[in-house]
Order: sequence, then C-alpha cells, then structure tokens
Amino acid sequence: MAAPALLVEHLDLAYRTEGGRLHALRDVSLEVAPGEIVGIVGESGCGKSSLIQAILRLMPTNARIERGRIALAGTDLLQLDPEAMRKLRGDRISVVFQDPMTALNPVLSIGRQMMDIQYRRSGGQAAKRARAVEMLRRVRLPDPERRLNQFPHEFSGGMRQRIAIAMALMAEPALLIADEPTTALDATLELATIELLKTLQREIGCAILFVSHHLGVIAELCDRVNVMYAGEVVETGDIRSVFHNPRHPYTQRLLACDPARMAERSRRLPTIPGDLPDLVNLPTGCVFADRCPAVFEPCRQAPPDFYPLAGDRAARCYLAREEVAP
Amino acid sequence: MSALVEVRDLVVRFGGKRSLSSLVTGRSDSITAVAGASFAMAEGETFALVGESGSGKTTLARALIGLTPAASGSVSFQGQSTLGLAGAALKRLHRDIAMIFQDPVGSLSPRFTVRGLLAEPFRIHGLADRDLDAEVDRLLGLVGLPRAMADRLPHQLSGGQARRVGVARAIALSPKLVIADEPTAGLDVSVQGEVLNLLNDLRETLGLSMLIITHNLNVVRHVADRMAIMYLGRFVEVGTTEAIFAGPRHPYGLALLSANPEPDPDARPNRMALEGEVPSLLDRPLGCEFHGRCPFVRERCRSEAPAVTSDPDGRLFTCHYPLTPGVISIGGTPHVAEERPDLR
Repeated sequence: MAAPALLVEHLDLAYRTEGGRLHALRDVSLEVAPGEIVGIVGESGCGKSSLIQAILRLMPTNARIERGRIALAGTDLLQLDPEAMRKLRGDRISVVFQDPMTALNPVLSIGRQMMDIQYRRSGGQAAKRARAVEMLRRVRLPDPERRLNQFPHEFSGGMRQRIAIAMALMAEPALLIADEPTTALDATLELATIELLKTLQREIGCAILFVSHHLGVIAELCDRVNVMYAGEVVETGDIRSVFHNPRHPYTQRLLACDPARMAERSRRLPTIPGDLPDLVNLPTGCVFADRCPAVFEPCRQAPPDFYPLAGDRAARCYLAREEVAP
Repeated sequence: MSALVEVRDLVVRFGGKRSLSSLVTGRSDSITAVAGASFAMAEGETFALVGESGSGKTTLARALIGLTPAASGSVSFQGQSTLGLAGAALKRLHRDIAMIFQDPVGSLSPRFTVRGLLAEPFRIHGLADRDLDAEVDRLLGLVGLPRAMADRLPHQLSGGQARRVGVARAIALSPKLVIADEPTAGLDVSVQGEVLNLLNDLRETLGLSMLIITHNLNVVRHVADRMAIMYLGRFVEVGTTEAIFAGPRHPYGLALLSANPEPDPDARPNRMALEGEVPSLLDRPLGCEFHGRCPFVRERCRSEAPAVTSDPDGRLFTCHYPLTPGVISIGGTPHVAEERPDLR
C-alpha cells in the first residue's frame, strides 16, 4: 500500500511565551491518503494555523515541536535539513492562503510571478510561459495569454484566488494545503472555487488538506474531516458520519450553532457558552469539560484519550470510550 | 407610519478626473459604485444588503451617513435630507446613525484602552461632562462584557470581544439607526450567534433600527425583516426576507441563494451555476447587466435594460423575464422563468 500523502502522529507543539509554555497542539494525529480531500474544521485558536505551519516547517521562532512525527509520502519532514525542506515546499507540497491579494506580489505581473516560481524546471522562458498559460486555462481564467501581462490588482477577488490555485498546483504537488481559501469570497464564487478544486484534484491526483471554519464548505468538498478544539483533534471520521451523527459534544454543539442547519427562522441563534481554556495552564481533565453539556465525573480528572469508534472513526471523549468497551 | 430612512435613486461615483487616457480613448475613468439605489426602512426594522464583494453594499452605507459623497439622488433620515451635510450638522447626524465597521479589531485604535474607546464618542460629541466611567460601565454591561475589560487594549481582545466593543461604541450615544457592516465576518459560528443575539437584544431593548451588510445568507435569513440583493451597484431584488428565500424572482437572487453551501454532505441541491465573470464597473454590459452570466438570457436582455417591476405583494425586481416560484426545482426551491415553456 502506498504511504499516505500526509501522516501526522502524536504531534505536540508548544510556544514559548511570557506567561509560560503555551501548549498549542497536543497529541494531534491525522492522515491524508493519496488523492483524498481531508478537512480540518475548528474555530479560532483551535490550532489549525499552528498545524499548517508545523507541516510546512514554517514556524515562528518561539515554537517547538516537542513530540511526534510528520511524514509526507513516507518522508519524515522533521528529520530533513532546512535546504531539503525548502526543496520540498512549492514542489511536493504547496499552499493556497486565505487572502489572494496578499499572497500575490502586487508589483509583478502574474505572468512574471508564474514563470519565476518555475525556477526548478528546466526549459526556456517560452516553455515556462506556455505552462503558465496552460495552468491559467485550467483554472478557467478567460483569455490567459493577454491576462498574463496584467497585475494582481487588475483581477477580481475570485480570479486572484484562482490564480493562486494555479500557482500552487503548477508543480503538481503530492499535497495541497488550502488554508481557508474561500473565506474572502462570496457564496457564488465560493462554490465555483470548491468545484474547481475538486476538478483539479481529480485531474492532478494530489491530496488536499482543506482547512476552514466554514462547515458548509467542508461538507461540500471533503471525504473525511478532523474537528479540532483548543489544540486537539477531538473527532475524526468520514464526512457523512461526522455531520450526521457527531460523537464528540463539541462537534455536536458546533454543528448546532450553524444557522444554515436551522430549518425554522429564528431571531435567537444557538451559541456555545463559555470560553476557550487557558493553553498555558491546561485544565487537569478534558479541555472541553467547562463548556460541555454532557460533562460527568471522569472528565474532570484526566484528559480523555482518542477512542476509536466503529467505521474508522474516533472521538476524544469518555462517552465514546464507554461505548467501545462496555 | 413614516419611514425612518428613505433613499431615492442614490448614485455614488469614484474617480472621473479628466486623465490623459480618458481624453484619448473617450472613455470615462469614473466608476459608478452605486447606480441608482432606492429603498426605505421603517422604524424598528432590520434591513439587509446582500451581494458579492464590489457590488456596492459598503459604499451605499457610507454614502448614507455622509462618509462618501453622493453624485445624485436623495437620502432622508426622519424626513430631513442628509446628503451634503457637513461640519456640525453631519456630526449631529452621527449621533443618530452609528456604524459598526467591518474588521472588528482593525476598527479599534490599537493605542486606546477599551475605556478610552468607549469614552471617545462622548468626547467627540462634546458630552465629556457626563460621568464617563459610569457610561463605560453601562456600555460594557449592555454588550455583556465584564467591567475588568475596560483596561484592556484591542490586541488583548478576542474577535468576539472586539466586536462587542465595536457594538458598544456604536450604541454609546443612543442612535436610532445602526449600520452593521459584515458584523459576523471572521467570527466563528458559535461567536457569530452571540453577536447576532446581542444585536437583536439591543434592537429590542433600545428600539434600534438596523441596516446589516453581509454576504452571509444564513445570517440574513434569521435576522432581517427585509432585504435587498445588489449586483454591480444596483438593486436587482428587494422584498421581505421570507418571500425572497421562499422564491427569488431575479435569476441572480436564485443563483446567490442556491450557491449557499449547506453543512450537510448529502445535500446536493440542484444548483444554479453561474457562467462567466463579474463584469468590470469600468465596462458595464449593455442591456441587462446580468445577461452575460444569466442562464435564462434571451435576446431582449442583451440590448434593453430592464426597468424596476413590482409584484402584487410589493416585491421589487429588475428582470425582463422574472422567475415564478414553484415550477422547476433549483437549490431545493422550485422555480421557472416566465414565458419559458421549454423549462416547464
């Protein structure tokens, strides 16, 4: 069996801060099979960005990986020297960021930028230009030859994001990380961008790790999903089971909060009362215990493990353990 | 009942200085960001402006409170014309109409504490002789923030807390109308609910009217009484939220509603995909400006701009061949274009 496109195992990451060590990621494990689209959903502060930075090894200087393993198609990324890691980025693994305007250089034409990033390729300028045109055509940018000479500000937001996608996929990477790529777009463009990602993923055959806090987009695009809360993956499973039958109380609350899921029009919207736990002084028990409606005795004593459930699912909750081992 | 706000044929233009290129090409350099918008808001009403980025939502709101000059048209607030107000008169208007700006943290001065931020409206409006500490406490209480929050700086606040401070600033001087520009953008779903519930509570307790600008349709459905859908600076459809969600009459309205991603992996609604790109405001299409992307386009749409039409229940739309709810199904809601026997 082929090695997974991405494998993260028991990753612990902490930041040195004035207040002490901030445990941003704790025991994070996830897997993206080749050609699979896997979602990460979670709210601000859940560790999505820390995880992406760790995978890319583009962490702030005060961050340290304290435990765990990250492997890209079998290659252990944490063992690579910086130069080897640099060769990997943009070639085997690439990223589409949230804001397409800041991801593109405003003073260079998009043609220039798209040719520059092919610096690893052999071949002349004409060949690189042709490849840029070809990629723009694949992301359905009209009239790509002419538009190659234009600058980022001359494109609409939706077009800029498609250009960013074209650039990320130019080297046909094994893994594409999409970090909230549709957040800055409107409903019609959001949908078009998701459809485009799906099509390109099929054509190129790359795996996608899709990070978003938008539940609708995740449901629309992903095969499997990991739900993160306060630095932990609290639930994982195939998209249908997690959305139809969420097992972790946080997933349940999160899904219930989405106004799109409420059939009846209501002025009063559901919320999750309480705040995120302090990640410097972690609670002794489960990180969600203070906000959890189903909290019971064991939750306060020690953090729960990631308990496997039927159907290749898992949840970090004592209620899930009860069910597996009666 | 008289309208609180009445906007008629409002036009806002940007640019248009005579540049060399415009002399050579004979083409105007100005863009019309808002191209003749008309609507009225009753007291206590929540009205939503919906549309893609660049459709003119924020510009319309800014023109309404005099932050951006209007090229033509009229705006009246409580029966008084507000266009062209300046100096003391404009300042006076800003006591009655307050705005909550888009970026929750970015719209707060980073060097002010929350106390300073909440006292600022009183200072600006010459009300510093009030007991400002008491006012700050009152405002924090209204938006559900603990008093200890007063000494924090904006960067020490979470997105939801910063948004609450923005709301507190907006309601400081007891306005009649609050304009909320993307009040939930960038907030998580659980916090989004808190902010919307807060706005709704304040609307009820303080008797506010609200103009909400958003592209989040799920929010609109739950909070707005009426809504307007904007496309390229024009209203293509205006009506009650319930009626529009039950069956939009403009094809763009239908596309927008059917494109709303559903948080259900099995919901694969029959979507209406739009072809083509959003046209440039510098080069507006002839005829109906939506014709290049409209799946129901017909010959007339390419040459003749549709007029604003009203249906019996007061819904306004701008389309030659409006959709009739109830015949074919797109996005879970059945629709058909009138005079399209091939689709029936």
